[in-house]
Amino acid sequence: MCLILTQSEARLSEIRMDTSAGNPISNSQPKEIPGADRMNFDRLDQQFSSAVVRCEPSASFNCHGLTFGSRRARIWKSEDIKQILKDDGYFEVTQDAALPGDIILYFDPAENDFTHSGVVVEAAISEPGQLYRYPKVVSKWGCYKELIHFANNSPYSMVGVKYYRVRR
Amino acid sequence: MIKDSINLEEVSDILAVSNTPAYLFSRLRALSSVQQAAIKFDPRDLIAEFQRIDGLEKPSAQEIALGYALLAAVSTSAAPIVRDFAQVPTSRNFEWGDEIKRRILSIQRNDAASVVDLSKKNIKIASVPEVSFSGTIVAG
Repeated sequence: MCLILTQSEARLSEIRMDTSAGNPISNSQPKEIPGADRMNFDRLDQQFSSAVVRCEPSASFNCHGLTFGSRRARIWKSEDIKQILKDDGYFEVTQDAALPGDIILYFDPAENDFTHSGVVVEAAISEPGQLYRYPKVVSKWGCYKELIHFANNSPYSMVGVKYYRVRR
Repeated sequence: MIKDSINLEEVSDILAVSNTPAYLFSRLRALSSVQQAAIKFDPRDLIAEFQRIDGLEKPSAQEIALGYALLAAVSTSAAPIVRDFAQVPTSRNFEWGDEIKRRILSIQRNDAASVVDLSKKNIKIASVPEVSFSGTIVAG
């Protein structure tokens, strides 16, 4: 990943973010999402209690902001994600070949939308005779927490999941 | 009361974990309580409630969740008032309000263009879109 991040003086709610080929990535850097600071996360805490909390809830970045923007902003346009994958030279790897540092992308083909992303922190276990274990990833869930979790233990559908690696 | 018919706990949980407006919109449209509200209430009432929240100085988390649910409910209606409503920008209360309204307009355009009775050879267009059509329709 090679992104240029500089604070824009013109629009405080957006930072300059380009792919390595110089294409701009739209984003938002909200100081506050209305109502987000008063959200009730109790049900999510209970439902995903096995996930490890890395950071408490924050509205300042989302999953794609973590994966592609160093936790500095919210990125949510799928065309921008596609541009990053292309310009930064990501290539697909299989789930079993994914290593720590590779990324995971959850894609919804019906909506043509990258619903979620994260960074692999632990490879899958797929040795004969052992119970299969999905890779572990660190990801940010909307305005909710940043969590370390198994790839298949989140609110996002695994149907369109792919893993990518960037080599530089 | 509109807000009593929508399961705001479900809506809030979806809103909390949404990374993109497309995910938020599609998940809310799939909620049964949102679909039921769309049937039970007139789109004018749903729009009026959204506009009330949109105009608030500091809406609560529940009101924001309700607002997004109202947008999802309204999107299922093909009434002309919905198209007019979707063309008006939202306030800062809804980060993804304008993006979701664009999606509502897109749904309306698609619906208007695709309501065609193919069971009869004499094809009838049930609603006429404002966009022009330059292709050819061939009846089988």
